[in-house]
Amino acid sequence: MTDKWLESVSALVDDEADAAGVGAIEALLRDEAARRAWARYHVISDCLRGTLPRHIDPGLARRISDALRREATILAPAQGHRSRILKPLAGLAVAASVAAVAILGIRSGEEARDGQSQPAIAVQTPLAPPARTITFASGHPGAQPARAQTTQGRSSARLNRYLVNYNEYRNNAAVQGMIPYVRIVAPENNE
Amino acid sequence: MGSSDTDQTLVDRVRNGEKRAFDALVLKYQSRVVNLVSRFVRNPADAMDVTQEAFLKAYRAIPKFRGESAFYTWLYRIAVNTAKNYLAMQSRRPPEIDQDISEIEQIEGDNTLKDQDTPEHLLLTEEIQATVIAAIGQLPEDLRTAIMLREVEGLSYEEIATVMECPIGTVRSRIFRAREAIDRDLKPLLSNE
Repeated sequence: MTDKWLESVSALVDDEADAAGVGAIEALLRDEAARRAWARYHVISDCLRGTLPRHIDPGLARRISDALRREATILAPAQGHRSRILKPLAGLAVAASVAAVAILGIRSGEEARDGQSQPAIAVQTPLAPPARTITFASGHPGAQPARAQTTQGRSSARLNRYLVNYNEYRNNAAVQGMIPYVRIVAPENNE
Repeated sequence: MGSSDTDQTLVDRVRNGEKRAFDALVLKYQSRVVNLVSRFVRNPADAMDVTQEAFLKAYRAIPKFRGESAFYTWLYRIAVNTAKNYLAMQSRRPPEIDQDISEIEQIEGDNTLKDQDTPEHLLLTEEIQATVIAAIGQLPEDLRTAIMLREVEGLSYEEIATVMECPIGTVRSRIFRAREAIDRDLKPLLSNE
């Protein structure tokens, strides 16, 4: 046991151990010299503070230690300050998980309903494959895709105009405040 | 690492099956518990037995210690209950002690059980006190001042550093060297510890 470690044990007696405090505790638990120094430093403290018992039994700690050896070893989860932090965090994690499941459940429910009430999406999806089908069937690569794009562009422009008009009409008729002047539905950009 | 941190660390180690961590707590608090128990149990030998029983009860109950109060406060309650149970078993009336922990600690050093004292009982205590006082008297001024400010005045290392106008590391070193000097004279007395 070096003086460096004994100095850490001395600081530990005063509850003034710094970062080396953990190492000092290790020394206290592993090294007999450190343990004896810890004991004597406390006797010196008790003496100077006037808390030394009138009757000192130098074998008391040893007897208690021997009796402890006969006791069952305790293996309990650490509590204290760490559990006071972890408990609310665990609760928060559970709450967050429940909220996430609830949100996902609602969204998937909405998507299912949207799928039933908005057939336009289902119709829109197969628009691209027919264009390719036409290309292969006609035997004139290049002509049909251009025609398909032109048709698609016209439909898109019509749809956009319709959506803009619809929003302006709907907002002016129903909602007050700033919202009526904001166009909520924007033209969709088809890649 | 403050007192509660040190104690809590040792308690956590006990929970992990390290009995030696509890030995360290016993060495730290045995004097205070003996003084406390002696307020209830007047016979010194019985007081030692009750102190031992109190520590064993604390060890068994340590899984229930939640760290909501200081370890010594928790240990104090166990020691008082153990002493009262002992007196009940002995069919003696416990003394009318209705004081809180701070009041008990204030009178711990002022032991009034002189009727039970014998030269044999007092010999070791007196020898220790005389040895420590003599060793303190022989310390260099800076070491003596540092340890007295710490132990008698109860100043922190930071406060001592301010008073002595030196770095905290120097305070820590001076207190350690003072203890080592006292310890050299004390070792022979406590060799059978």
